[in-house]
Amino acid sequence: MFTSRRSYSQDEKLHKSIPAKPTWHDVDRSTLSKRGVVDDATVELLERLSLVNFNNQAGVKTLMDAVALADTLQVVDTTGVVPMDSVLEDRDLNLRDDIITDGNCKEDVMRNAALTFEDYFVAPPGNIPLETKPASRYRDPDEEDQDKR
Amino acid sequence: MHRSSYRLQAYQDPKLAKELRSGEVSVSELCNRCKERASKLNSLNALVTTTFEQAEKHALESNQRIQSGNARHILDGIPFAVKDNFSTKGIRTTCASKILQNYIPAYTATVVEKLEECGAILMAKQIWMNLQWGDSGCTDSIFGPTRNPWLYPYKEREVTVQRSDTQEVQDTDWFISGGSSGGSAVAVATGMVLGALGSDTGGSTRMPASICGVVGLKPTYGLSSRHGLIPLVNSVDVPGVLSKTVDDAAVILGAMCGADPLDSTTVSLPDQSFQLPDEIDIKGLKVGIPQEYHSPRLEEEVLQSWSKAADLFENAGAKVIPVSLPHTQYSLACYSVLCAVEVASNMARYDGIEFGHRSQDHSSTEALYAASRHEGFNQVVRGRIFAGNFFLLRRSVLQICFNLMTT
Repeated sequence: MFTSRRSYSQDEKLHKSIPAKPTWHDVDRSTLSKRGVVDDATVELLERLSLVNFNNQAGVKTLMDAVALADTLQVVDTTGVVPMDSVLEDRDLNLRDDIITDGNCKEDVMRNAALTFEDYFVAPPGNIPLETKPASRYRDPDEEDQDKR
Repeated sequence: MHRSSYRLQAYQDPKLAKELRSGEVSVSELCNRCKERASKLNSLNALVTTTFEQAEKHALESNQRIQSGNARHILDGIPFAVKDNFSTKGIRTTCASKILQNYIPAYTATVVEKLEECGAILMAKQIWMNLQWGDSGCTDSIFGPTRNPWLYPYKEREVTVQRSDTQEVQDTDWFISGGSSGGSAVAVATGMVLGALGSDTGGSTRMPASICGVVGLKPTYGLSSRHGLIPLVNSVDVPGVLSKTVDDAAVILGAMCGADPLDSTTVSLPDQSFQLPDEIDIKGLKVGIPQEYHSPRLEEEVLQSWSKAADLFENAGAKVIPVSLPHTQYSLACYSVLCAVEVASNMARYDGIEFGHRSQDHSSTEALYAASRHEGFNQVVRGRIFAGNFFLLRRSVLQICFNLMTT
């Protein structure tokens, strides 16, 4: 691969079907309405829903970048287009007959659980909401990165 | 050097299959050579779990079949490996992540089963990026990064490689293998196995194949079963094929594809042999060049290669014409949202109760879930979960998701 690499000359004529210059349109971000808002309340909500922590300011920024990227899709006009809800489009999914073909696999199912008790999975008490910490802690430069704790 | 090991350098499954049939090489010999190669190249960090003992037993059985003229398939006796997100019964399947570090599935993925039924010999599970999401360099796994075999100094100095400026490559100076199926690509490129399965969602088989110089194929969605493939994005995941030649890729694809009652998104095709003709004639074949594929930061070398490919097709008699795929520039944004959403949903199953890493925090169910997931997932995976859950918020669904399904 490396020994046979060709160095391409910029003067080499391109095939007539290949566009010589980039063909993308510029998206003027100032015209986009700011739909994706990531405020403190959203950060706290997301931590509760996701049951993981952002860990640091960089984590929050990653989310904001992802939302900004999604916002660029506003420029696409989708009026009258039917949403696609399956990659297989108009094919039917194969459905099986309602016949039992499996079972008696208790050992298999329980084998990978870290903690079991008499054939039960074990979970701590529920109905105790997760203690949430304020999102403003990610703005404190002295706040430790939780990954490093 | 033994003749058979020379043939590992440049083979085609049909040719090697012939040698296995004629007895020039035995299956056990072939598997041993692959095993030795894998051990010598340990420093490339391509393998998570090896299955050499089991492989030895299967090699003997395969050899017996071949010698008695009862070979099951052209792949009978051919060593292969699979990415560590394919469930394999009784063999650890980790997804290169702490969350599944000690997970041992009770069943085997359909595509792996199909290859084994053909007689192919499973040699190892391969490293890939942590839960398939990180940088595209395959550097994110809990087992450490996978190294590209090209320009890497092998410890035993079988091959001496030097840069063009005569500076020798140092051990800490290695190149990425590409991801996320980096281990699979490296194993095939170095001859540790003769074919491998990866998975491809957004290029995870094709990218490492390109970077390691092997063939990478993402089959059309629905062709191969995803049963047993630990899911990332159910609407886009596909089991991928990595091999040294296109012929091999066709053989492997033919062996593993087909409708599966355990995966309702699979599709039956009338003819699934995928036999490539010996002489390929593309006269009159229409090849489209999407104009929108010239993206803003396309490198000059890539542009020239693109043009060169168009020339090759035209010279071979194909009709090469410009076409338009007008929404191309929005595809990445579209993909990023749909993927984040499905990833958030798929990662919800990791709570430490039925399987996977379980934390010591037992103050409440939610605290246990949160601690287990915090300890098990890395920063990048967590980032995708947040993005996905953001897009799934009631206020976002109508504004963003609905728009996407129509883009």
